[in-house]
Amino acid sequence: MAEPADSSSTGGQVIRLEQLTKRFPGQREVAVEALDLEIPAGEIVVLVGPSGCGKTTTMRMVNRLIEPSSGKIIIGDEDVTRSNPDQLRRRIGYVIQQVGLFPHMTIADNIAVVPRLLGWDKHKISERVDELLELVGLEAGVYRGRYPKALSGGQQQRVGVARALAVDPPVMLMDEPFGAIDPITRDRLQNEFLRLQETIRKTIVFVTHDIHEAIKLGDRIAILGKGSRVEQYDTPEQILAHPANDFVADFIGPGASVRSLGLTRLADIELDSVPVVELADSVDKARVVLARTKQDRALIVDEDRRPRGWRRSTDLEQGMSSGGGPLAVLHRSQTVHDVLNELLRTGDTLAAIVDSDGRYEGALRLETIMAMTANADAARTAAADAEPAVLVKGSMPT
Amino acid sequence: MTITSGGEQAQLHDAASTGVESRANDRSLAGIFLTPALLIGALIALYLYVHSKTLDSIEKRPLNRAFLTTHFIQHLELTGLSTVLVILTAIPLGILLTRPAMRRASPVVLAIVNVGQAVPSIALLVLFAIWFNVGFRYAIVALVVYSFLPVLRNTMTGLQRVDRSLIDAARGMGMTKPLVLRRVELPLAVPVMMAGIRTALIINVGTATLATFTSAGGLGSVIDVGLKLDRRTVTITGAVLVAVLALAIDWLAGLAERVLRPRGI
Ligand SMILES: Nc1ncnc2c1ncn2[C@@H]1O[C@H](COP(=O)(O)OP(=O)(O)OP(=O)(O)O)[C@@H](O)[C@H]1O
Ligand SMILES: [Mg+2]
Repeated sequence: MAEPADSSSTGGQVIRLEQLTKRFPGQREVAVEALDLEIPAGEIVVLVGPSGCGKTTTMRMVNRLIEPSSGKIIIGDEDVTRSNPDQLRRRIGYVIQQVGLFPHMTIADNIAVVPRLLGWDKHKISERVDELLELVGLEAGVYRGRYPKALSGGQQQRVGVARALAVDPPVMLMDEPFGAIDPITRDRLQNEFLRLQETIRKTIVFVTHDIHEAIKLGDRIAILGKGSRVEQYDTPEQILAHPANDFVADFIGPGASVRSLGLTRLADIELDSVPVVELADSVDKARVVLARTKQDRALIVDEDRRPRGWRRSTDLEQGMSSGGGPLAVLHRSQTVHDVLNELLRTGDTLAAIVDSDGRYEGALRLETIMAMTANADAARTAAADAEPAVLVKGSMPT
Repeated sequence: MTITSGGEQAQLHDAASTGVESRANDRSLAGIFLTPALLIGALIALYLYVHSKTLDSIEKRPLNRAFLTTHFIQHLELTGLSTVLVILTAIPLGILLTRPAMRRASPVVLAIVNVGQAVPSIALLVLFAIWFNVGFRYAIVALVVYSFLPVLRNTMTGLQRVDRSLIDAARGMGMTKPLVLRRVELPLAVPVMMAGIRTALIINVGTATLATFTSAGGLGSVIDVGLKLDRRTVTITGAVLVAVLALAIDWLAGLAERVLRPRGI
C-alpha cells in the first residue's frame, strides 16, 4: 500500500478484557468463559484457535455486537460495557471475512458511511476518502465512483480496510479478513497490512484459525482453547520455541522449529566466521590464511568487501579470480529460513551474510542452523514433559 | 425446483415459482418502445373499427366519449387507489414481520393473507358486497385484500434475502437499526418489492373489471352493457380498452422497476 501522508493518525489504545463471559441462551456450554486479556496499544494481537472456540464471540463482544453476559471491556480507560453501543461502534474499525461492502453504494459512499454518521462535512469526507483509497493502494480517481461488484475480492477487502479506518479509530477488529481470498493475493494483502500498520499503529484484534497467518501478523498471539480459555499468550517466537502445553504444541503442529527460523532475523543472531581474503591478495597469502584457521575454504571479497566467491585449498592453483561454484549471499534483514532456502537452492552448506551496503559481515553454516532447530525442539520437548497429560484436548480442567 | 429445507428458502422458491418476484427486468431498449407502439396501434384499429360501423341508438349510448371516459377513469381509480392502499399496508406489515421480534408471527399472518388470495376474485367481491354494501368503496377493499399477498410476500422475501453479513457490517459500523433498514435493507429489497407491486397492479387492473357486478363501475361496465344488450361492437370496445390499459400499466410498472432498481446491483 502506498506510503501514507497520514500524520494525523491517532495511534492505538489499550484494550483490557476482564473476566469476560458469554453464555448464549439455550446453550449448555459457555462460549467464552472468564477471559482475561490485555491487548497493548498499537499492537496486533491475533486470537487463534480451533473452530468454535469462541474467537468471533470474543471479538464481537468488544464492539458489543454481542452483549457480554458478565465481565468488563475497557478501552483506553473507559469501561465500554456502559457506553451506547452504536456510538461505541463508530469509534471501532470493523472488518469481516465477507467484506460486507454495500453493493448499492459506490466505493466512496461505502467508505463515507461512518464519517457521515458522525456528521462530517462533504469536503472533509471526500478528501478523506481519497486519502484512504491511496493508503490502501487503490487509485482514488479510478475507484471512487465504482460499485463494489466491479472490484476483485482483494480490492474489495482493501476497501473494507479503508472503510474501517475512515474516522481513524484507535481500535480495529478484524475477523478472518483475508480468509476468503486466494493464497497469493492473501499473502500480498498480509504484507501490505503489516506495512500499513507500521504507519497507523492501531490496536488490532485479529481473528484467524490459521496459525501461519497468526505467526506472520501477530505482535502477540493468544492461542485459545474451548470457551476462549487462553492456552498461551505470547510473541510468535516464544510460542514456537516454547509452547506452553500439548494443546499449543499440537495446534502449532509439526515443523514449528523450521517455521521459527522464519522469525529469526540474521541481524539478531551470532554469525559464524570464515577466513576472508581479498581478490588482490596473492594465492600464497590465501594458502597461509587457510592453514592458520584450519578451514577448508575462504571467502573472496573485492575492494569494497563484497563477497565474490569461495576458494578451497584444493583449487587455489587456479588463481584467485576464476571459478568457485555458486555463492549464497544473504542480507542481514533476512531470516534464517531464507538462508536455509538459499542453501538448498545452491546445494551449498555455507552462506555469506552482508550488511545493507552489501559488505561481508559474517557467514552461516548449515550445521549451525541445524543446531538451532535441535535446541528449539529440545525446549519444546522439555516444555511438554514438564506439563504431564493434564490437558487432554477437548476436556477442560475448571 | 430444488427441494430445500428451512422456511426462508422454501418461501423464496415459492415466490419465484409463482412468478411473483422476477419478471423480465432486462428488456432491451427496442422492447421498451415496442409495447406502447403496439398499444397505440390497437387503439387506432379499435377507433377505425367502431367508425366503420353505423351505430344504432342503443350502441350510441355507451360508445361515446363521455361514457367511455367516465368508466375509464373509474377503472383507473379502482386500480390506482387499491394498489396505493396495498403498498401503504402490505409493505409496513412486511417490514414488521421480518424484524426479529415479530418473525415468529409471520407464518400465521401469511396463512391468513393466503386465504384472501385463494378465494376467487369474483367471490371475494360479491362476499364483500353482501357483508358490507355494494359500491366503489367496498370494491376497493376487496381489491386490496385480493392483491395484498404478492406485495407482502415480496417485501418479506426481498428483506430476508439481504445478505446477513451486510447487516452485520452496517451494525458493526454503528448504524442504528432504523438506519440499517433505510439505507441498506430497503434499497437492496427494492427490486423484489417492485416485482410484487407490479403483480398487484396487474391483479387489480384485471379484477377491477369485475367490480361492475357490485355497482362499482369501471370498464367492466362497458363489457357488461355490450353483453346484456347483445351489441358486439360495445363488448369488443370494452374488452380492448381493458386489455390496453392492463398492458400499459404493466409497461409503466416495468419502467418503474428499471428506474427504481438501485445502481450497482
Ligand atoms: N448467536 C449464537 N447463538 C448461540 N450460540 C452461538 C452463537 N454464536 C456462537 N455460538 C456458539 O458459541 C461458540 C463459539 O462460537 P464462535 O463463533 O465465537 O467460534 P469461533 O472461534 O469464531 O469459530 P470459527 O473459527 O468457526 O469462526 C460455538 O460453540 C457456537 O456454536
Ligand atoms: Mg469465527
